[in-house]
Amino acid sequence: MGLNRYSYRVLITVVIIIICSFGIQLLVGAENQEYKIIDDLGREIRVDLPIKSIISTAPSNTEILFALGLGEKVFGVTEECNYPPEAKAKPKIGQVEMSIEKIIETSPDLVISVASMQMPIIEALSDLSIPVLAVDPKTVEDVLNNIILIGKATGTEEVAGLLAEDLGNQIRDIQIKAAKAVEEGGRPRVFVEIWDEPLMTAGPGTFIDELITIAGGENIAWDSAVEWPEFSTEVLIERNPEVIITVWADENDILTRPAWKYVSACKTGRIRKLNPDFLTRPGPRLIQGLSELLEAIHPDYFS
Amino acid sequence: MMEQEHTGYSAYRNRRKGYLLILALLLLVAIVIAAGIGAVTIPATEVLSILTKQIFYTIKQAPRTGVEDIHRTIILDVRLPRIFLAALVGGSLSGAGAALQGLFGNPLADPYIMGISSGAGLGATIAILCNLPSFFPGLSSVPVVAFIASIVTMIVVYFLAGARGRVPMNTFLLSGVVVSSFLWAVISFAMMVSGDSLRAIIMWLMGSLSNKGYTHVKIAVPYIVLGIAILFIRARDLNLICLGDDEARYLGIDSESTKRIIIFASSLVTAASVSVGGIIGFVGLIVPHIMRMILGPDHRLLLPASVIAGGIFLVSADTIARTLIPPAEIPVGIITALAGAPFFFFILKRYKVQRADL
Repeated sequence: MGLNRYSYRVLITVVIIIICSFGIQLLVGAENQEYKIIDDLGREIRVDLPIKSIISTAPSNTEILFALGLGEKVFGVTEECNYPPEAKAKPKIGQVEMSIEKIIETSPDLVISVASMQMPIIEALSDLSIPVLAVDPKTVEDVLNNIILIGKATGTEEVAGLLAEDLGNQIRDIQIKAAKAVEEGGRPRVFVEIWDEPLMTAGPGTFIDELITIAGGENIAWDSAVEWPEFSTEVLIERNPEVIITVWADENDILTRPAWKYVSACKTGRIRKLNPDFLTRPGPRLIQGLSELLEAIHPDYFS
Repeated sequence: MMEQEHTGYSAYRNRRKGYLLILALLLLVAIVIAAGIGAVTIPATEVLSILTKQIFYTIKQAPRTGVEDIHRTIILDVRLPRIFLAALVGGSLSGAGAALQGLFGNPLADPYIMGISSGAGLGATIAILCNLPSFFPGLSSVPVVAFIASIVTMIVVYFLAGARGRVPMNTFLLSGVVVSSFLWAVISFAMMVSGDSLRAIIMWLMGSLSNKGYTHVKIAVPYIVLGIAILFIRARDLNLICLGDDEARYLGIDSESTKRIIIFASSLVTAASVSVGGIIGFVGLIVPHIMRMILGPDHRLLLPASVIAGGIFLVSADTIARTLIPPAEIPVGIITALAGAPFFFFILKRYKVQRADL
């Protein structure tokens, strides 16, 4: 039995629709091909250059954007974005939780987020076809790569390349000084106090740990199974750090702890308070933190 | 009490003393063992020699050098103050829990039911968030603010529950629960806007005895000793109140004032221990139940037994907390919940056949 006329019409209509939609997809694909970027989550992002408005969901990304000269194009940052000072004047889109509504209201050309904490917002924005670039830096080298990646996504590839090269040179310079210091005097044992009660430090896998190693020190929490451990006070006393870096407690608070009086750093006074933003934010200022660490760990080789 | 009816009161009193003596010895053993175990391995003989030397001679003035000296610092200045603090905090929470379970006649009562922990939590959160400077040398502002906030919370709960001079126990419980949920909401909001200090707040709320020294022991001891002494003195009155308000009145007890005193004393010890140890859960709930199942409901035995057993429990839990994954430590609140719950079920299964009073 053959098909009747009605069925033919339906069939032809369906075929035409399918062909048309394929055609549109091909056309659209061809138009955007040159601006495809793979982000740190392995997702493919399509951006239309030039970018006119950007939203940053992390202080580190805000610092990178401003360093790339994109400050004018940033239309939303978090409450935590305190550097550079101009960033504080930008509209806020949230703190730990981002407001999706505020992001949509801005209708940004690009959102730059971090993969580790912000999966829900990345997924929600992607569903709304707002381009989201997720960075996921684990090492200092990742930070340099992220600068180049963000440069590519924002059409500032050249500036980003220069910035990454400059930061890379600074790191090499510090590495050379640190290597010389280590060769002559060994690696001083370093303890970084993140918090006092409970006593918390930074273990392997953190930027702080990597920065200490680059600056020619040995993190006494090298064998911690946890990235941000509550650290054993007695192990600290046994490992006897020669340098203590503190980001919270004052030098004097540390010196008054009775059990710490035999710790080398307390006896010699080699306790240094540093701004944690330099040590934990995967942005350009990480290199400044590195430089301050070198000064604290190998003062003779600093200049 | 079976013993009382069959063999007379003095025999029961002797048995009571016997139980407490055994528990006290167990606590001493727990303290010595805990002093010998840590992330740094120190041979048992050396531990014992350091401890006995410290007890029998005052060698503090002697110059300290070398490995033995580091070990002495670790045992005397790191482990011991922390162990004493664990014993104090564990004893306080467990003693307060036992008193409140009796007072409210509610097996779910624990020292935190009156909202003290949430008050202390909010105080600590504010101190951490605002980066308040320390008021005393060698002591951060966190425990001080936490203590003040928990006392204020206790007063608020008490006055919210008060009705014309009387404080009905159910109203009091409800008032505590409501104030507690309100304060927890404030804490959650504060955590949301806390940024970099979030981890510190979470660690504090989980309860930890990390990096605590004799300063903490010294500031907590007066309140804890005072509160526990009041509870011990009022143990007999608490027994009578458990019979019911009317019965207590016939027996010559002013139940309203007794209730107030017991609530005050429990709050005081809880506030002091939460301020120095954070919110350590399960000790104040489980240890009194275990003691009641084993020793019976007489508060003259139950309260001191709970205090000592709470000390043993927290000293042991904290030893596990600081040695399980060296060089890192685990907040002790996680250990008390992890180890406490299964242990409680084991005891419950074993004793529920013998005693139907729970």
